Amino acid sequence: MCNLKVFEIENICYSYPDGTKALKEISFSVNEGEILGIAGANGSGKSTLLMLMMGCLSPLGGNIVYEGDKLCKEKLRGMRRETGLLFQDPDDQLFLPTVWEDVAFGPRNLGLNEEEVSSRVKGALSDAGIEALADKAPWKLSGGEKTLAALAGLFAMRPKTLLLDEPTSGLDPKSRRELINVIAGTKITAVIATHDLDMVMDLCHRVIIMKNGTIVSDGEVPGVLTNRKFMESCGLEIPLSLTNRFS
Amino acid sequence: MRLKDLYRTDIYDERRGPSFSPLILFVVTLSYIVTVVSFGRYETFRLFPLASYPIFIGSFTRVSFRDLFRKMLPVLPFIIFIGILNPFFDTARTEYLGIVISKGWISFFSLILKFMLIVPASLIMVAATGFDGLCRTAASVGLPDVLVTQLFLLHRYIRLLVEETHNIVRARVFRGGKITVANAGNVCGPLLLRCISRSERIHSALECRGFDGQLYHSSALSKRVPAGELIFALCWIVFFTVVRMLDISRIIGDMIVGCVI
Repeated sequence: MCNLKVFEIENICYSYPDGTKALKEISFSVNEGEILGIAGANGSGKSTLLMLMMGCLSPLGGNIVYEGDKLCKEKLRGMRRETGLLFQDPDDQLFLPTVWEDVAFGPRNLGLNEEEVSSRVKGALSDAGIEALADKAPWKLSGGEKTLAALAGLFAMRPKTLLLDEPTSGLDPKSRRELINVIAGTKITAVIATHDLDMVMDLCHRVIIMKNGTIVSDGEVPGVLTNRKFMESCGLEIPLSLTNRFS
Repeated sequence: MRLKDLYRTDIYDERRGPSFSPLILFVVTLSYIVTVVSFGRYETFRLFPLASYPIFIGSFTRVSFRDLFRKMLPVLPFIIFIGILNPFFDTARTEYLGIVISKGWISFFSLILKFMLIVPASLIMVAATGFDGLCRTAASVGLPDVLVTQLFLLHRYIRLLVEETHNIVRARVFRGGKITVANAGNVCGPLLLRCISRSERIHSALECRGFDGQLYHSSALSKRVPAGELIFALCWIVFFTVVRMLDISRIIGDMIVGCVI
């Protein structure tokens, strides 16, 4: 991990068209090589924040700076070439008729030749541990397989940064562990929005706790997650792996 | 047709082995359709040899005939409706296999037979190549990107619409609700909003992976056709031509009669 900032979020505000204020002057940064966890109760603004970082939504105030440049329409394409967003629902992401085609979708959009595309797809499927699913239709996969297939689609683009929205939601313990191992094996910058605080314990270097669209804590994982009263005030619990130690 | 059947779009989605080049299958199927349609409305018996194509290609590509039949069944009443007036308007009588019958009935059966030949052949083509394969073929033969992409997205969004309808109907039915004409608005409104919301998420996901409106890049389109498949196509096209030029049914019939006598 180094001090080079990949993302700098400066006083970001966002409200949905119905007037709901999702984010209120959020500021933080993501360092290169860092795995940053974003935790918070439902509706605290985690997913909205990731969508803003990826340029799927436009902030109503503040700036998003990517590798030193303010993110604007012209810079968006370049940023998206280097950043992968895993959506909360993998069904939104898996689009093409087979897993292989879907994983190849990103590299083809990068303008790579078919040999390079094929090599990247094989590598990505192997990294995600789903080579056997290559010819399957995405909508016939289980929840865990879909998440891994969607993740393989991101790996194939060889991103510098991953933004993962609830990657372990709906997964059984085995699939969850597989996914954690896959993410841990990537060794790239990642921002993980999740309720799964045990995953945050396992993977993240730093954690941000959000409440009602604001950041209420930003710090080292053990320091933040072991404060039971604080966690409960944010609608969270301390991770299960720490429950016995701190009860 | 039940919703469950409508939901079963999967026969078009998974390619089966042995795979054919979509382009070859498209050309052969198109030739087949042109041949079938070119027969006159009273030439019912001349169509029979053409049944060999959907049977062969269906078996070869392992498409389920049961699924095909299920897909055809909902459309059959419309074809019957179109053709059923023929016997009433075309009352001229003719002798067919020693039976005196009105020409209207012959044209009616001819219409049904043409439907039974063309629709399965088309469905097999889509099922064997996958809808994606067809779009790829369209792109490789030079159809505009915008059109091909729209076609593919339309197919994808139909699935999405069916899925969302299925979810909404199931959610209501499981809680004892019924869908009637009176409350159809309460179903259609949320359905539309859900579909729009999900479509936006899918579009965002596509954009995040560099989608710029072009789904099929030229680097991914292969125009090379294996020699074996070329021979396959030529053989079938020659067969269709022979069936069109010669009355195979009559020739076979005459041969059998000649042997018996």
